[in-house]
This record gives sequence, structure tokens and C-alpha cells, in this order.
Amino acid sequence: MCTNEMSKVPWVKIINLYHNLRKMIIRAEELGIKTDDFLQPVLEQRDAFDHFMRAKAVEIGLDEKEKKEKYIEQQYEKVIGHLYRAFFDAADWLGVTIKESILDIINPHSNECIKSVIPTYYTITKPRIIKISTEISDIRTRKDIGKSGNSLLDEVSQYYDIVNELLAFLDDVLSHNDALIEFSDKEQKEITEKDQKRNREKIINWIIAFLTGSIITIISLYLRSLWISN
Amino acid sequence: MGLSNMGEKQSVDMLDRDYKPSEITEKTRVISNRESIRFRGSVRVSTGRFFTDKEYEEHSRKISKAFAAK
Repeated sequence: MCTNEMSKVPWVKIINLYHNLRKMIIRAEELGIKTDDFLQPVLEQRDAFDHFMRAKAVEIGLDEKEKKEKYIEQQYEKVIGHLYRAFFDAADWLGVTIKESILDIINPHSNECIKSVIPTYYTITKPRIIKISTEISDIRTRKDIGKSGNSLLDEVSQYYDIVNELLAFLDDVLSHNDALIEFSDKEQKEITEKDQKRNREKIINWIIAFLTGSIITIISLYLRSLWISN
Repeated sequence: MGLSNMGEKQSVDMLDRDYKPSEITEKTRVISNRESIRFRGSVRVSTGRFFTDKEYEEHSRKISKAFAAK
């Protein structure tokens, strides 16, 4: 293939999409080890690879097509289309996995504990994550494979930044994991101590009631014996 | 030898076929389990440890709801 034809291939777009996609998939697989796999991004990559091989076969003369240049161009457009879909599926998967990982960390702890250990959780982190979910669905609604190169890469980069922001929140929550456990243990210890104190008080009250009852009975019996003897 | 001369016309047509967005359903899981003996790929896929499209949607919705609630 001559250099002139090579330069027409949208390599920047393809490589950018592919690299961002790989990063997303690797992180999603790392984080989602406990849950099932999401196959859509992998299938889209397979389809992209197939179109790439079709284009390459014609480029190097292994396969013959009537309108060679047009065919090659179409195949590369399809490569981009599949990688684009793969990227959005992978980014969505990673977004869900990050939220799930944050939930796994904070769920065993009380709201008081979370508020005390991560003071920004309910004021900044959680509202921002909920807003990010809306932003993600907005981008997904707008996604159109037929967009021009720059616009398409802009959206990919926008989505990539959003997912990175989510990852930063996860890192922040993760860094507080030990403190959350420690605070919960302390809380649990306090609850146990309170329960023990309440039980002790209950026993003392029972003893007092028993003693009071016994004294009243003894006095009444004594007074009754006095009254009978008189 | 060009790819076009490799086999019958039917196989060439198949090579040029467009991929539609794949649908992952319960049937996909049944097939991947059934064919796992011939499959040298991911253990997760061959044992059916993947989301169907429907399951993924439900999972995603469940996580968002749980996140909003906590």
C-alpha cells in the first residue's frame, strides 16, 4: 500500500478510541471481579477487528473489490463505529462497577459513621456521582457514530474524564475504608457497653423491687401479728 | 491467491457480511455452556458467568437505585 493511501486511514481516531477503550475494559475487569462479565464491548472489538482485516486484505491486494478505495474507507468507518460503541459500553460498565464498589465499601456502615469519617460524602461525593449518572445518560443519548472526527473524540474524551472523576471518588472512599471499619467497631463497642449498662440497671431495678416487696410483706406480717396479739 | 478465490461464493458473502449490534440473551448462555467443551477462550464465558443484556440493564438500575438510597 502506498503512503498516500495510508494517510487516508483515520488512524488517530482509531488509536485514540482503542487506547481509551482498553483502559476502560481493564479497570472494569479489575473492579468487577466478583460480578459477571459484560461481553458487549468485547464483541464490538471483535467486529472492529474483522472490518480492519477486510480493509487490510484489499489494501495489500489479497482480496479484490470493485471500488477498492471506497470499500477500504467504508471498512475503516465501520471499525470506528464498532470501537465507538465498544467504548461507550465499556465506560458504562466501568461506571456501574465503580458505583457498586463504592456501595460495597459504605453499605456495612451507618450514616453517622460515613458522615464522621468522610464529611464530604453526603455533601459533595454522593450528589456529584448522582449528577454524573445523569451526565452519562445524556452523552449516551447524544451519541451518534456518524459525527465528525473531532466531535466524536470530544465526546469520548468527555466520557473518559467523567469516568476518571468517578474513579477518583472511589479512590477517596477506598482510602477511608480502614477509618470506616475502625469507627464502626467503636460504634459497635459503644452499643454493646450501652446494652450491658441497660441490663445491669434492669437487674438492679428487679432487686430493688424484690427487696421493697419483701420489706413491705415483712412489715405487714409484723403489724398483723401485733394486731392479732392485741 | 486472493480471498475471493478461497472457496465457494457463499463463504465469501459470509466474510463480507455486516455485523449488527449483538444481542446477548439467555440462549447465548445456554449455547456457550453447551459448546464449552470445544471452547478455548475465557472460563467465565464458557461457564456462563456473563450478563445478558436484560440482566445488565437490571443490574445497572439496581445499583443506581441502591446508590441513591444509601
